[in-house]
Amino acid sequence: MNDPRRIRVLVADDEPHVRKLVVAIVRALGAEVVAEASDGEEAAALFRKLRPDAAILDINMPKLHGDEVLARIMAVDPQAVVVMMTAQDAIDSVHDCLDRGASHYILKSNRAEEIYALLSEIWPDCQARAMNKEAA
Amino acid sequence: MTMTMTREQFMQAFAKERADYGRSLGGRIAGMQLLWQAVCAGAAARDDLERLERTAHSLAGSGPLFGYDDLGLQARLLETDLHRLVAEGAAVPANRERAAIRDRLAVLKRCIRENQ
Repeated sequence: MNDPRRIRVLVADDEPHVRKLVVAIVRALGAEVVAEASDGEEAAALFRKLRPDAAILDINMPKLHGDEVLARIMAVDPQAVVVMMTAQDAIDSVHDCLDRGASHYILKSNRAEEIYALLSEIWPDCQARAMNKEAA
Repeated sequence: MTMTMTREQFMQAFAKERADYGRSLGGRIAGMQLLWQAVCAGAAARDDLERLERTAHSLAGSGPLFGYDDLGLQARLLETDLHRLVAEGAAVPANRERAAIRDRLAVLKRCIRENQ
């Protein structure tokens, strides 16, 4: 049985170095990374199969754009905690994602240490949402 | 995939990832140059230009994260140029575009050297 204090996370980004970095951050925050995806289709399929508490999704991924992955996740689990990652030039897309159910976003134009700090800041909220969902 | 990390372990993992990223750049840009030569020679596959654009996008997004700000900026300019070419749909780029993309790729290589 999973430790109820550790939320289960899917990380999706087509750039392997970025993905590994985010995985390391998520683990450092005490969560469990249950799957990694390198494209949007894989991300949507893994979410459907594994039903993690949270997903961290790049917006611009091959095969299926991050906003479409978000839509598929929301269709499967409207309470899912989804954090979008984007470059500065796609900020409009990420605002659309927030309107359509994403919980937070992080900009990839930040340095790794800043991404760590940003995720640390939003993580308690992600954990609370995931735990509330479980309790509901 | 259940292990956890302390912040210190994360910083060590980041240092390793940054080094791996830096080591990958030369090969990735060399691959882009070869692909661009194939595109210019009319010997590329139909989706090669899109592959080049995606690689440029990937470098533009990941560069700043690992401390390669200039590389990220230059890769973004390259991505914009390649996106325009993809949208135009020309099979073989004109001379001016060949030179422009070749120069942008050379600038990317220089960014790596200057960052290491």
